Amino acid sequence: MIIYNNIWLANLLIREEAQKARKAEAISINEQKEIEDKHPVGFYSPNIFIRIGLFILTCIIVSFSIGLLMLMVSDTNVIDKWGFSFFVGILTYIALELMVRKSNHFKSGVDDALMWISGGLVLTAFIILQADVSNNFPYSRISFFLCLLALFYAVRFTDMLMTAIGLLALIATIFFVWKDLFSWGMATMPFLMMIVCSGIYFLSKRSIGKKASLYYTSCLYVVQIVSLLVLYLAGNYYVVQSLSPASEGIYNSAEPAPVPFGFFFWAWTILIPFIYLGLGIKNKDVIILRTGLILVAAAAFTFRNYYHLMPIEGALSIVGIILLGICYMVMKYLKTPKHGFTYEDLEDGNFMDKLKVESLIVSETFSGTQPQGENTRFGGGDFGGGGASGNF
Amino acid sequence: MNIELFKKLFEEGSISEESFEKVKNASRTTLFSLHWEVKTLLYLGVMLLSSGLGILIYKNIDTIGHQVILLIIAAISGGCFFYCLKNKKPFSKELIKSPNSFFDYILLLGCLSFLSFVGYLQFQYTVFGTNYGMATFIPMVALFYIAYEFDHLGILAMGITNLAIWMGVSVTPKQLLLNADFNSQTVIYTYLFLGLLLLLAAYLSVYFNFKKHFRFTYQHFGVHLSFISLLAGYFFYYDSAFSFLFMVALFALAFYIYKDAMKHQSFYFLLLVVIYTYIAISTLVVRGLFAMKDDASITLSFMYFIASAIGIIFLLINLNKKIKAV
Repeated sequence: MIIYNNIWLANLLIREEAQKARKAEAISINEQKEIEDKHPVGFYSPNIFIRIGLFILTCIIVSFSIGLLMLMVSDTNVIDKWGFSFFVGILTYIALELMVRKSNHFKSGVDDALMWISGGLVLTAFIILQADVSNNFPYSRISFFLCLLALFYAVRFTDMLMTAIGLLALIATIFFVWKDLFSWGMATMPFLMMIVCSGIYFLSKRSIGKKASLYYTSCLYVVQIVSLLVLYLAGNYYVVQSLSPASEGIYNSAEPAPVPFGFFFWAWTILIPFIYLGLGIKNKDVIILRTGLILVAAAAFTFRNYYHLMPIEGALSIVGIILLGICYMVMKYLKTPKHGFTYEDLEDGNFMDKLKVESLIVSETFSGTQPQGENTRFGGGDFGGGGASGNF
Repeated sequence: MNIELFKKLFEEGSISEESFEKVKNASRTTLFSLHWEVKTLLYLGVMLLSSGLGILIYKNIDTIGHQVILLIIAAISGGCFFYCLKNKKPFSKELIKSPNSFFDYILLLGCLSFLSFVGYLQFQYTVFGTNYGMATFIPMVALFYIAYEFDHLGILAMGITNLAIWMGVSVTPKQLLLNADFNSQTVIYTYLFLGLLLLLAAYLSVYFNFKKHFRFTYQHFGVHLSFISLLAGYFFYYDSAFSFLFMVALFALAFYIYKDAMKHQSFYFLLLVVIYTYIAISTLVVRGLFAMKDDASITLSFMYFIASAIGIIFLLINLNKKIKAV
């Protein structure tokens, strides 16, 4: 099923392990070199910059080719038929297969672009076809088709993003089917979603490290992240309330109806992120730990949406101070590694470091904070209500 | 690390017994790093605190409490700088590794609250009078000084942004794309001047061996600014022959950046040069094709894009090989 040369994929994994061992200074450079010589990899996978460039250029080529094709057949009125996008989609897919098989492209940007374009075109064809067949938009059929399509790409090209899309489409399919199947479908939806997501999570957790899933390790990590996130959202108070049948119709009213078993969902909203954090620390599992960190923020936003304990600026400042305090304490505590935890960055010279991403993010987000900037040069602005001193 | 794998490698004879022992030891004592988690939290903390303080000022600017707020902000800023001065390493022309990330972010917080403080002073008391240039010039100089003194790339980038504000333009790539008002001559020339100035700063950093690692930040802003403003200049003077001067300048600049990227083995700048040059050449070609006023010009330009993009792909692949060989 997998399109790539299995031996090369295996060799790639061996090389990665050797690289890790080299970084840990367990093996010497010569040994690493010897391992690489013995395990050749023939893939063409350039660095991230070239990959981005190749991606953009492939998109240009494909879109102008499609445009040229459209120009040629513009008189015959076939452009808006589903067959046209299906045909072009299949052509792109064939190009993709050829590029991967003949030129050994492996995550090179060219294959990424072809994959997304062909998938998108085939999906478009299916949607046009479905819209022709019936009047109500068949969400469940489309999401099911999308799920199959994305999973096909994910399995064949071991692509992480396709895995995420396939999984989300699968969950959406279950959602739509269950909703229409029973009159009480929506009422039981949170619990069904919780069961489904935890099932998927444990399944993916168990399959990591198995021989059959050796080349899909990164895809399985994505599955874990997505299922953990949806598992939380299934019981999040805000999500449940927006989707609950009681608030249907009065969705936009000021006072949404309270949710039955509200206590349970509130407990879920607040506690699950911390349970994730605890599990992540206990099992030293990066994925669940980081998901938990993100979800703490989600819990805070949900809580603030319902209860306004203090004005926003006070909350921001206090949370900011607390975060800085926590960081200070963690760093102090981990000055020398304890219980297998360290603060030191173990991966030196990674991609983020090379591009100095951190400094760019800082300048991107903080550069707007000087209120005097725009007002001084370009005049005019009515900054800050009553205090205006007449100079503006 | 996968012990089974290394056992096999050891039996194959790829690694020595000593190395195999080391691998076994290393895999037993793997540490779990919280580095990026803590860093993200630090970033969030600084961001939340500084925006919280910003809103606090904004809301209370006309109440009696504003002197208290001013004092609090001054205290925070002063406290941060005091902490940083106490923990800082002596100045050096080379890269200084900061003591830890907490130091970096506290310094950032200090700078942000300093900026708020200056802004507030100017707004409430108009300390700098109506001389607004001064009100932006002083924070800018302070930022550059702090960036060099404490060796902080984030603050350097903020300083560059402030330099742009002082010159009357905004510089981060996002804002460049969002409020792209290139319809005035002055804006284009200011951008261009700033871009070239930054490129010069990048060059001089290396030439004088003074904070060599700042080169990337200068170059990053400089390259984007210069190319975008040259392209904007070309479109601004589209109808006059003057526009081709911008194109010539663009190609000259592209050649310089290309040589520079090859010298420093930088894939990022190589990609930028290729993309910006490709845009420039394509606009020229399309202009030429449409000047023919022929029905075939659309088809021809489509074909041009297909063929040229394939060509650029091969060019990129070859350049990639070449830069690795340097």
